[in-house]
Amino acid sequence: MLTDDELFAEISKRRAEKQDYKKQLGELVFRWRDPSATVIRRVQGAFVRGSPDDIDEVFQDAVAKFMSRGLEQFRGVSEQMPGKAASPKTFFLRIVKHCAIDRYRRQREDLAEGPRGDDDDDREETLPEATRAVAESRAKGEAKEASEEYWAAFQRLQVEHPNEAAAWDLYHHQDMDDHPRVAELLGITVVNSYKRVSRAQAWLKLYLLETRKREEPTS
Amino acid sequence: MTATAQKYRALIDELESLKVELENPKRPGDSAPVVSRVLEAAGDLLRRTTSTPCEPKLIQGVLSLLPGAGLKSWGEGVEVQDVQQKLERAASHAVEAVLPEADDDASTLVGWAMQDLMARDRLESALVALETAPREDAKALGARIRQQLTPVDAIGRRGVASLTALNTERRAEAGLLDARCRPQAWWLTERSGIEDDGLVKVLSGEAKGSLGPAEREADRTVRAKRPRSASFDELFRFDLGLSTPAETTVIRSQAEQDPELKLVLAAMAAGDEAIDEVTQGEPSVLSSLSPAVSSEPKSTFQVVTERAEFKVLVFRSKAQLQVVVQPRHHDRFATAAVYLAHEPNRAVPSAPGEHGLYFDLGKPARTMGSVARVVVKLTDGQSISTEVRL
Repeated sequence: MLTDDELFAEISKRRAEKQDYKKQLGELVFRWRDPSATVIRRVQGAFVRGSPDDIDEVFQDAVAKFMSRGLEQFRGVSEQMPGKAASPKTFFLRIVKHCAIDRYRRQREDLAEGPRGDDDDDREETLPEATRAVAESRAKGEAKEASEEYWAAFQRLQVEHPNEAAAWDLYHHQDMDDHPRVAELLGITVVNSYKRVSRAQAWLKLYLLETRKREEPTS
Repeated sequence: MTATAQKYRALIDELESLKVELENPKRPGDSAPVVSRVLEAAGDLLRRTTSTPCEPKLIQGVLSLLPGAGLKSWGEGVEVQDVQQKLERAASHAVEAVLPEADDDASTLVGWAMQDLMARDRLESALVALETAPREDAKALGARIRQQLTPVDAIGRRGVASLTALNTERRAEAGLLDARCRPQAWWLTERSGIEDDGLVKVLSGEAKGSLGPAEREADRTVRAKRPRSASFDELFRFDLGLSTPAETTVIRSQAEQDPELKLVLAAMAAGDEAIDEVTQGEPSVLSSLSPAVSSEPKSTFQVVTERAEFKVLVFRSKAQLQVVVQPRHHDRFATAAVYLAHEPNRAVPSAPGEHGLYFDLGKPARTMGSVARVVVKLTDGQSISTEVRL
């Protein structure tokens, strides 16, 4: 039987030669299933959430991530920064760990958002109450829509202008509001920090204008 | 006469020489490049009859001489996606031109942006020439390309606000167009009024000015405070020690204020402990990779110790032996020292590097077979000692 490293080398070879490697990958990650379960359980313990039923789903999620990006990431890290990636097994277990963390983190965020208020459906409301409720609901809907549009625009900025996105992220999302600090963290001049933040602002607003134009009904 | 106007005046001479070339073809091979020049020059003049008057007979005459094979070949080479990319690039460069990284770059960026923008204008000229040519194959080709351009124009028009940064140059070009052609040339005419000249600067916050309702709404959306918590990818990179200094600072400062992120970091540490347990006794070094990966390594390395807080690596090459202490959780790692067996009280000098704290032990032959002691101090005061056989 091939060792983990040999099997992983076979997968990498097949992948480089554009051959099917799913069978080999399936065999390899199956060997790591029990250690993965241990890691998932430990993360569950830290979050005080989850059930044994989650283990399969988290494991599958990790396998999908390992296939879609992890193999390439591992290759890159191993090549460019030897020592950071350790063994393929440890790397995979780290993906498992992060998939579990992501799952329980999301669950907590969903809980923090609170119930949607459907329980109150049967209660009779006065007309002013109903009008206020409709207005509040509409305002909430609009705010949510604006927020989604904003984050889509920010993602586009990250792809098209990563330097400006990094500066804007520190300045605005991380609440630094301080160009010397942004400049220090990014290793740029204070003047360049100002300029990057200005360009980021302009592009984000221009992207939003573009998106909203797309959604306008054509006359 | 402006340089732009002179450029179009020169097209009359070019068209006359192209006519001579088509009447006496001497160049062998594909005539698509000549067809391209004819179509663009003829169309440019057809769309600027007031600013650049030209004998219609000359234009019609040249268009009637276009070889069918060359026309077909030119049509096959038209890529409307290229035009779309150029329009997008023009919009991007336009914004950079008004907010350049270095002031000296502004005029270069305007030049690049206008060059890309005029690619759409030249294609429009070619289409007008095809539509005017007294031949059915040209008209059919023009109709096909115009249809392909409809979605490209729709996408480009949505981003026209960016092009306001080029308004001076756009107005100069639009002014030379015949009035009937201006509405079609949205890339030169839409939002080209003086009132929009400062739009990009106002949107950037670098200048004050009035905004329309749509721009005001976008401004409100962007300026609203929105904290962003670390994503899956950012946390993963942080865990691998691959975060940039900015990302590391952000995650650490977020964790100070955000109990949720603190919980995530605690879960990461708990997961690390589990990983250490389930991989205990296994070689944590990657012993083999694909040929593509393992080709010509710069130096071999070994992971000697891997804990939740740090890793100890040994890098070996013919010329150098280095011990590297790599923090995995910067908030728990304080410092590290390395002592050689023959000098137990003198720490080996260290320097920060790409992978962590580097301790240079010199040539491998010097220390071969001996033992180095690595002492790592954690932020909670705990000291962990590891022995490394060299």
